[in-house]
Parts: sequence; C-alpha cells; structure tokens
Amino acid sequence: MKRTILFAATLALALPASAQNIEKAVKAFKGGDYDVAAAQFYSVLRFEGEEEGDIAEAQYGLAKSFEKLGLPLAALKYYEDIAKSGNDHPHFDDAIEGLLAVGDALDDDLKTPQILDSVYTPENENALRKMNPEVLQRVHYTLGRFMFNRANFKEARDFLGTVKPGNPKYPHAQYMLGLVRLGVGRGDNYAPKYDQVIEHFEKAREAIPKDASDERLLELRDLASLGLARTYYEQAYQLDEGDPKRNDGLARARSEFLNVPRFSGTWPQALFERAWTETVSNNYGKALGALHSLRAPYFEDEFYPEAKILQAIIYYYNCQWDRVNAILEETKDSYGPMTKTLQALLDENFALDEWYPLLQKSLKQQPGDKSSNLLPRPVAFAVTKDPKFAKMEGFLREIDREAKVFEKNDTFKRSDMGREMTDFANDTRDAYLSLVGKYLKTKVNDLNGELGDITTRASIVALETKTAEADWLELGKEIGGQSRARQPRPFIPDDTFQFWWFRNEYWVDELGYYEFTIKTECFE
Amino acid sequence: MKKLLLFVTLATLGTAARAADEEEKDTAGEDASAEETPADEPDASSAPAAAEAEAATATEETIFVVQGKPFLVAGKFELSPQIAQSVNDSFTSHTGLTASGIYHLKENVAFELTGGLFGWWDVGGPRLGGRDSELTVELREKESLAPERVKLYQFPWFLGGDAQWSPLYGKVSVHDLALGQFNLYLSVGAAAFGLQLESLTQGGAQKAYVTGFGPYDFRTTLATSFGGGLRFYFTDWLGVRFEVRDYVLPLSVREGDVEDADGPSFDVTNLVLGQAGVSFIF
Repeated sequence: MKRTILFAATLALALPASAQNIEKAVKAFKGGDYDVAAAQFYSVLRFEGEEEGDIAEAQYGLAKSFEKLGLPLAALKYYEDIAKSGNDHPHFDDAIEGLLAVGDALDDDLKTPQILDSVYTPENENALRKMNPEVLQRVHYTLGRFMFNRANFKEARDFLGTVKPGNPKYPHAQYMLGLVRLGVGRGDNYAPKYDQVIEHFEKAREAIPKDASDERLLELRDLASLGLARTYYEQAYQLDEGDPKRNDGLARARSEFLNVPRFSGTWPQALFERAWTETVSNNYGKALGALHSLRAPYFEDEFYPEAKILQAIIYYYNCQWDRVNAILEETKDSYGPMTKTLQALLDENFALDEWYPLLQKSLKQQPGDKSSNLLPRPVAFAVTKDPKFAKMEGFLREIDREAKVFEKNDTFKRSDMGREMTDFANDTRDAYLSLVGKYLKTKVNDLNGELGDITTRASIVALETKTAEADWLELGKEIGGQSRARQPRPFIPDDTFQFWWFRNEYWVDELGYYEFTIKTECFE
Repeated sequence: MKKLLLFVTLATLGTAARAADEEEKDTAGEDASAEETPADEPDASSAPAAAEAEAATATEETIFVVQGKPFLVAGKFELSPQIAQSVNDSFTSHTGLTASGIYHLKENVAFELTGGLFGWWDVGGPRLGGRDSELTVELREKESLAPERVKLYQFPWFLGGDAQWSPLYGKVSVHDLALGQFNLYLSVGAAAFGLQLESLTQGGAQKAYVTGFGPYDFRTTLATSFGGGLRFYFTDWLGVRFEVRDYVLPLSVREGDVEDADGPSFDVTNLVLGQAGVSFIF
C-alpha cells in the first residue's frame, strides 16, 4: 500500500507536464484497474513527442501494472529497460527492487542475474550503495549466486558475505557460502574449509523459522541438512578405519541424512546417500534397507542406477557371490540398452529446439516401454528431477502462460501492446527453447556417460567377484547351492516401536525404515 | 559429493578383502551352518520340489521394519462412550450405554473403569433394565410356560473395573491414503450389577416388579468379566473401539423371595455384551 501511495505521489509530480494519457493511466492504476493502466501507460510510451519524464513514469507504471497483474515476465522486460537506462532514471531504485521481486516470482536464475550483473557497473555503484540496505543485500545474493554459477568463486564469496542476518536471503546466502567453502564446482586443488562449511550450513538452517511454510525455504532447509550430511561424510571418509573421529563423523552424517523429512523432494537423494554412509560404517543391513526403500513403487520415477552397484558391493563384502552376480547381470541388462539408445539419440544431432519436445514425448511412455526413438523413460524422468531443468521448465511454462494472457485478455488482445507482448513472449520462448535444448543435450550426454560408467564399474565388480570365487574354489570351498533361511527377529528397543516383516508388499508408511539382516558367508 | 561417491565405489572395492577378513574374525567360533537350513539329500521323486524349495530359500532376504509407533498412549487417559447390546440373549435381552475411563499405564497395559445403564422404551415410556427376549414372550404367550425365575433377572446398571493387555497390533491402509493403527486387547476384571425381576403378571402400562426387586431397590450382585476387543487409532486423539465382554454373574432366587416361583433357583449367567464406541485420548 505504502509503495502504491509513493508511486502515485511520484506520478502526481509529473502531472503538470504530462499528456492526458498518463493521467488516465495513473487513475486506472490507483483504481486497481491494472490492465487498463497497462494499456494507457503503453500508449504513452508509443506516443511520439512525449516528454522524457512522462516516458520514464510510463515505463515504471507499465512494469508495475504487469507485476500487479501477475505477469512477472512482462514486468521483467520493462524493469530491465529502466535498470539498463542507468541511475539517472527516476525509478532506477524501484526497478532494481522490481527486478528482484519478479525474479523471485519466476524463480529465475538466468535472466534476472544477467540484468543485475549488467547494471552493477562503476557508474551505477554509488546509486546502488545508497539503496535500502535490505534491497542491496538481495542484489548481492543474486549476484553471488550468478558468480558461483560462472565459477567465479571469490566474487561469489564477497557478494554473499554481505547478506546479513534478518535479510530474507540470508539463509540462501549462507547455504551458497557453504557450497563455496566446500569447493563445489571447482576443478582446482581447493582444500575445503569444513568447519566453515558446517557453520554456514547450520546458520542457513537455523535462520529458517521452525514454522516456515514457504516451499522454497523448506527445500533450502532440507538442502542444508543434506549439505551437512555430505560434509560430515566427506570428512569422515578421509580418516582411517577405527579412528573414533571417523565413526563420529559417519554417525553425524547418518543423523543429518535422517533429518531430511520423509516424502520431501530431497528425501530419495538422502536415502541413497545414507546407503553409502551405512555401507562405509559397515551397517550393511541398514544400507540394503535404504536401497530397498528406493525400489518401492512410490519411487518409480526416481533414477539411481548407482544403487545397483552399491547393492552388489554390499553382497560382495558378505561373500554372497550368487547375489553379486545376479545384480550385476541385471545392471548390465538394464543399463546396457539404455546407453545404446542414448548414444544413438545423441548421434542424431537434433536441433537444439527439438530436445524439449523429444523429452515431452519420452515422458508419455508407459513403464516398460522401450522405444529406440525416445529417451528411456527412467532417464526422461531423471532429467525432469534436475533442479536446474525444473527451473527452466517453470520459466517456459510462465512464458506460455503470459503469451496466452496477452492473446486472450479483452483489453490487450486487439491492442499494439497485446501484439507486441505476445511477440515478445514467443521470441523469448524460441530463444529459451534453444537454451533448454542445449542444457538437455548436455544432461543426456552426462547421463549417458554416467550409465556407461555404471556398466564399467559393474564389470570391475564382476571381475573382482570372479577372482574371489576362484580363490574360494582353490581353497576347496563350495560356491552357491546353500540355502538361506530367514534370520531371527531383530532387537526392538521398547514398546514405543513397532516391528513388521516385509512380505513383498511395500507400505508407504514403512518407506525409509526398511532394514535387512544379512549374515556374512565369508570364511577364514 | 558425487565425485566422492564415485571414488568410494572403487575405493571400497579395494578394501573388500580386508573387510571380509574382519567379518571372519567377527564370526570366528560360530558354527556358520547352525542358523542355516542344510540342503537335504533329495530322493529322485522329490527332486523337482526340493529344487524349487531350494531356489525359494536361496533368494530369501530377511527384510523388516522397526519404526516408532505413530500414536503413543502410555501415560495418557482415554474416555470412551459406547453402545452395548447383549448378544447371547436366551430369556432376557439388554441394550444400553456405557462410559469408560481408561488409563494407559504402558503402550500395551491399561486399567479401565466402566459404568453402564441398560434401558428400553416400552408402552409406558423409557425405563431402566432389560426386557424379555422373544423366546420368553413366545413361551409365555403360546405355551403358557415360563423359564426358571433366576433366568429372568434383568440388569438396570453396572459398575466395573478391569485390566487390559494388548498382545497384538496391526494397521490398515486405504489405498495408501489413510492409515489406521489398531491393537487387539484382552481384559479381565470385576463388576457390580444392579438386579431387577419383573412380576409374571403385568397389569398395565407401567412395569410391575417383584417386591424388593424393582429398579430402585438397588439389589446388586458381583460379577467377573473377561473380554477382548479391537481399538483403532486414526489420530493421536481419536479412535474407535469394538469389544466383546462376558460378565459372569452368580444369581439366585431364594425361597420366599418370590411368591409366584415354583421354588428356589440358582444359575451362573453369562451376560455377553457386544460394544462399539469412540475413544478420545488425552
């Protein structure tokens, strides 16, 4: 409300020198008739000979009207124009704030940071530094993230370090600082600063209110827990077995993995990585249990090909060669054909804008469908789970939504503005589709490499298993043929716990709690 | 992390032999075959079946879940209003309302106090007590016969206490959308029952009772009770109960108690009540 009043007051100052259109536009805006206001502001911009002051007001009025109408992409276009015109523009500060707001609404990691980066110049620096500190810190967070994505880690750290507690972006900045200190994305021999990493992740988590309901904040809290778990794991894994600090680190990692709420977006990843932690801690039953959860129908669209390798390794440790061999065969049978299909698609040299439609077609396959012209279904779903792709797809959807609004809104559809904004949305879509295509192609290529790597590792485990089996035969030990009975019921802490056998039926409430009793078949 | 995990895959393979050695130490001294089922020497006729059985056991994994109970009741109170209906009606029938107060000492042990009123709506309006069963009415009206008087006792009210033990628990899922937890409990306890006895001759709209055996004469008898039921919890404060309880009552009609009786009569009556109600836990 306060912002609206200030805006109206600013416009009122311009009234004596304005044409009638701007007066009408302001009146419509004040009356909450934002589509009429937008059309009027647009006509001021189109009117040749309009005074500079009126044009500036109309630019801001148009951007603000679009923002009010829930058209953040359209608003972004006009906020960009204002911001790029420099700090002489009377609404430069407002435009920066507007950019941050619509960038947040779009969850935009690409366009908004680029605009802010182009605005953050020596010429504008003084004006930016005089801005409301809260807004400036949000600008710094956006730029810090942008720098991080461009592997400019020092600048990222400097920008992110300016975001103070109490700022809405403080938890995000602390999380990003944790990633910077951990050396994520670095190719050099950077030594992670584990203590600082832990401090940043903990600060990120603590800064999020316990009763927070914003989905992005909740996701950030889970990511911070996941980050802490990974950091403890990475530290502990480097220590020698038997070192109490190693055990302590692994226990902390396990505890942090368990902090990731069940059924949250990051839960499957936490389950999978906890399986590694349990394996390294020699808790093979718990590791197999975590992997067992991931095989439940609930996780049908999750793709963890490495889970098979881990499962094989656990049975290898326990000298259950038949199970190792069965899993490795299954791995090769599952992923070998997938790799061939992916390679064939990559060799097709699709145009960049063909990748997204290909993905959409691939997602329509039923489980078990195997078409050589489409991405394998599990791969297609794995791509959609990629956070960066999810953001890109969200942006594409927003482009389409706004194009439809300009095509269908009664005030807009017959006006020049409606046509221009529809064209803008379509042009943006075309450009963006190529960008999405480029990302998809890279992602598919990476997944193909990963699957190839899985097959290679399956071969290594198979080789190790054959060697171990040969050693057994040399020692006169029989391989296979032994029956395995169900192991006794495990220890149950007290009557606040329930015990259930798994009887080939997954219960959603049991996911994440499965455990195996595995008896080693190794001998002296 | 991903790089690290990939590294772990290969690195852990390198330590596999050592890990196996350690496992060997852990199991040293154990008879490795003690907990396994040795493959019996199959005869020719049973070979296919044995092979199938072996294949089944060879792939058997021991998979289980140990999870915290979603609703804990230890240390909590439960209030449970229920409707009750006698289910083994021979000569009398009882319908009523009961209210129970339960204290859960542990997750599977509880103590309960219950009070109940039985009543019926006759031509004369609502009243306390049971009623003659259809069999009794038929005997009286068509055969001019009447059961022993002791079998015609009715119970207007009761107060009881019992201890409950839940040896089994379970859960139900409705298309993975709703999950209910239940436990099966057994109970044993004692109760006091009010007694009333109708006159054989009923003259008007109001019920006539044997002198000294009316609903307000507060004749009582003691009983023991045995029962069992299912308790479903849908949230940590709400549930439903289904219960069957057998009250064993020693009853007698002594010489002189009733003028129109053929003689004294004695009986041990089982009043079996089917009950259903809701539970509020707090």
